[in-house]
Amino acid sequence: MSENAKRDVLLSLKDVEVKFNVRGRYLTAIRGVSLDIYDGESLAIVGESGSGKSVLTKTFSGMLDSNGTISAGSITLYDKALSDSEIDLTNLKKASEWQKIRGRRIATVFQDPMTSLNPILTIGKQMCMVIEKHQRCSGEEAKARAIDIMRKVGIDNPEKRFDDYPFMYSGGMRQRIVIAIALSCRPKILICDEPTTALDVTIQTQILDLIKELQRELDFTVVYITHDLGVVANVAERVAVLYAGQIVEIGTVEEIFFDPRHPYTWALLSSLPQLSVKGEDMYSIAGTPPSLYNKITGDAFAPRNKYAMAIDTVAEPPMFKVSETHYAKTWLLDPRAPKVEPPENIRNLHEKMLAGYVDYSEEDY
Amino acid sequence: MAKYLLKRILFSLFALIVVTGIVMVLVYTYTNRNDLLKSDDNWKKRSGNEQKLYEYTVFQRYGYLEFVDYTTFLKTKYLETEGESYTQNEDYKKAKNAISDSATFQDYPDVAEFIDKYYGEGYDFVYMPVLKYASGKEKAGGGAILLAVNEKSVWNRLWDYITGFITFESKYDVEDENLTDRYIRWEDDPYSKLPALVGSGTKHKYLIYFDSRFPFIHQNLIKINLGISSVTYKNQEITDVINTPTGDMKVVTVQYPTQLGTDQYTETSIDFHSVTYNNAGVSDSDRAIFTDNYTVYSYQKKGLTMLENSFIIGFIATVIAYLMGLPFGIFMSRHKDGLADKTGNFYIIFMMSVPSLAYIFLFATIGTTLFGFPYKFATSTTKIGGYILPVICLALPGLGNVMRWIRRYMIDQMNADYVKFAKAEGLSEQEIFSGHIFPNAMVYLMQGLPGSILGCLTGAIITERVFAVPGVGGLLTTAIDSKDNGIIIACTVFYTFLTILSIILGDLLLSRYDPRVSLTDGKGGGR
Repeated sequence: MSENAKRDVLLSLKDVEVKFNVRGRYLTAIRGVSLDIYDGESLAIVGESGSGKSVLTKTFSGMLDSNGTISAGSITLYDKALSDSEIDLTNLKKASEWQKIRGRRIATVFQDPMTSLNPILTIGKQMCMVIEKHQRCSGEEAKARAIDIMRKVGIDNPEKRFDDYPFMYSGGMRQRIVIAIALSCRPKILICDEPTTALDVTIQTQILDLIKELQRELDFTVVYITHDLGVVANVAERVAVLYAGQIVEIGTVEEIFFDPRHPYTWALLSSLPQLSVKGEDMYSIAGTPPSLYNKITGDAFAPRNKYAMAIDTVAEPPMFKVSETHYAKTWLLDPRAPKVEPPENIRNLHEKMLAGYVDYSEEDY
Repeated sequence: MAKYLLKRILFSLFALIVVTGIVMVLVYTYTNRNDLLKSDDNWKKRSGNEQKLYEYTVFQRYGYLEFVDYTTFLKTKYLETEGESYTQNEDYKKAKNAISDSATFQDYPDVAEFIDKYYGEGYDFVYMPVLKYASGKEKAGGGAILLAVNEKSVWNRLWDYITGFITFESKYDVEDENLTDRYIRWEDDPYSKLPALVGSGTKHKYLIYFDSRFPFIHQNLIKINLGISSVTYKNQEITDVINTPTGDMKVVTVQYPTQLGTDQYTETSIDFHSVTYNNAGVSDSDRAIFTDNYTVYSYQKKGLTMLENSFIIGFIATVIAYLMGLPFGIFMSRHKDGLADKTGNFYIIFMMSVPSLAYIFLFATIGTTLFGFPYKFATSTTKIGGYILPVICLALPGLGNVMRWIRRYMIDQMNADYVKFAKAEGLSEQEIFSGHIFPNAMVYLMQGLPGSILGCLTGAIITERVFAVPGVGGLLTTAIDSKDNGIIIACTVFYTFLTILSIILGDLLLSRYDPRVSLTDGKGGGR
């Protein structure tokens, strides 16, 4: 996707390291992540549980738990609309400074719409609270804006449903409201933390399509956090694969799915349930991720990697450039490494994915 | 919702009746009534048939049975004979002696009449023949006795209690042929100078009236009969016991009804609003005061009633506990594990773990020595002085309790997803606490709120006893001690009623507050 090069960088992470103090021991959850997020793109961050997906996005939404700190690196938010167009988010200490970023510049949609809304306040009240806070407008005006955005996210008869309580909405409707609240202040970046995991399969596509549609209309950047590669294939333009707190491979969605270079990405793709053959065991990655309490030497994935080489246990691989947009952190890309082909089952992934993936969006809309 | 509420109320009434029935069974069938006699000197002094008769008197007083003595029956019968006292009446003497002969007494006309009358009403008969020594001399207390005894079954007792629970006054209540002018109408009340609903032929004269006592409007139209105290408050209605001021007589300068229209005034304690109809014949001294037959009165007293004393102390304590406990608990939750939270937790654990008697005496000592608050309620020279220590002693544990629960629910809610989402949308901590967390934490406290206020009407046993507050707190324990069956049942009914009412009000309040709760059957929001 060459147009990324033309896009402006919106958020730039440089060598970010996050440490958590867990009962006196330090856990390094993010180990030197550098990442540029471009204006208007859809980036998916994938990885298994504990790989640091959520923690990474929390560094730029300021939502790290109180025992976590950004111990190194910088996170710069570029926004021409701001008076000072560059803000280093790692310098924000006061809660009041973060309140200017959260909601207004960077908003987050969480996994479970059932619990993301306050059960005893009306939908309208909850929307207006955020709108009034960020846009400094009166109650009537806030209501008009709220109804407008409710209509945008596909709520029928929003005037009537404005005074309804969350329990009167279905799960899909609630996630629409959560998205509406998140977008009510026109943020530049929308972080979707597993936005469809808790939803019915039939609703999932609707919600993803809704986010895509709104992104086109309102022009914001979406960062998806997910372990569902089906979602990634559906919505993302770029994919970053995270393992043990590091980005091991990053590239456009086509590059990751059709030309993956990192053995971990291979393993991840191999474990797609769509690729399993009837009658055979489904593929799973052997072993567990390394403990992040200890210092990791070499390639963090080496112990689970059947293509591991001697060097993997000694030195950490650098990011090898595959193309302008595609990088992978594996010694296999070193010119001296032996030639290794990706596993058989993830070749021709495109055809297999199309065969296994049912698009519900056309049926139910 | 109305349908649901009606159903709840019917269920509640049923529960109330069941509880009353259970207590009646416990009190009247599972306690040994002969224990009542063991410590009774009057019983020990008596012997023979007289002692037996006394036993029946005691059992009747405690409500176990009802009986009519043949002699009493004769007295009422021969009293009607005009001109002479029944003691001089020869027929009376003859009838009285008729039962001495155990062989023939049943044939005597008066005895037959007595038996006929009470047999029809379901009474059993107890005959005790004359007790004589071998010499033929009558033993002490050995005179013959004939009784009609009605041992009430629990079912009858319960039925009587329920059917007599609420009574309404009507103008046909008074049985007096000479009273022809019967009415209930609004008249000008000469004592309050305001209108009053006045009855003639009703038991009370003033049915609805105003006076200077809280709550300023009073009524005698509807009466709740909780029961009658048999021991502690001799034969008083329990509703009167808890609703009569506990202070000294109050002397006021008023005009007697006979003085109305003149310029004469009299100093008296008579409460003219309390008058009831006198069926027994108005005495000359009463005639000098009253112009009609409503001459049975009670006195005005100073001070507050037992119920008011308990409620005022409890209510102020509850209000203080909530007004201080909520902000303290919220502060603790916002600064969890900080110094304030630790201090607060220490206080909560202290109040929970130290027995109430211990800290009440502690606070009493601190209050009296350091601040000079009056110790005993009655010794207070100012109006509010006596309330200070009891209120403090009730408010402090209540405060700990409110702090404990609001802190706990606030912390619960702080980890909720919607709080995380609100934070991610840029709301400030203050906005999240007051707009999201606190309202949700209050959901759990809301239901108990009516209970903690209505609960004040049951009084505080230990606090009231330590500070000698004339309140309702000790009513039930004293009644159990003294086997005052009427009060035991009355208290049970009253407390059960308060509990049921608290729960219903709590549910109603919760359904108003929490949109997820709806008071309906079946569909339409979970319960």
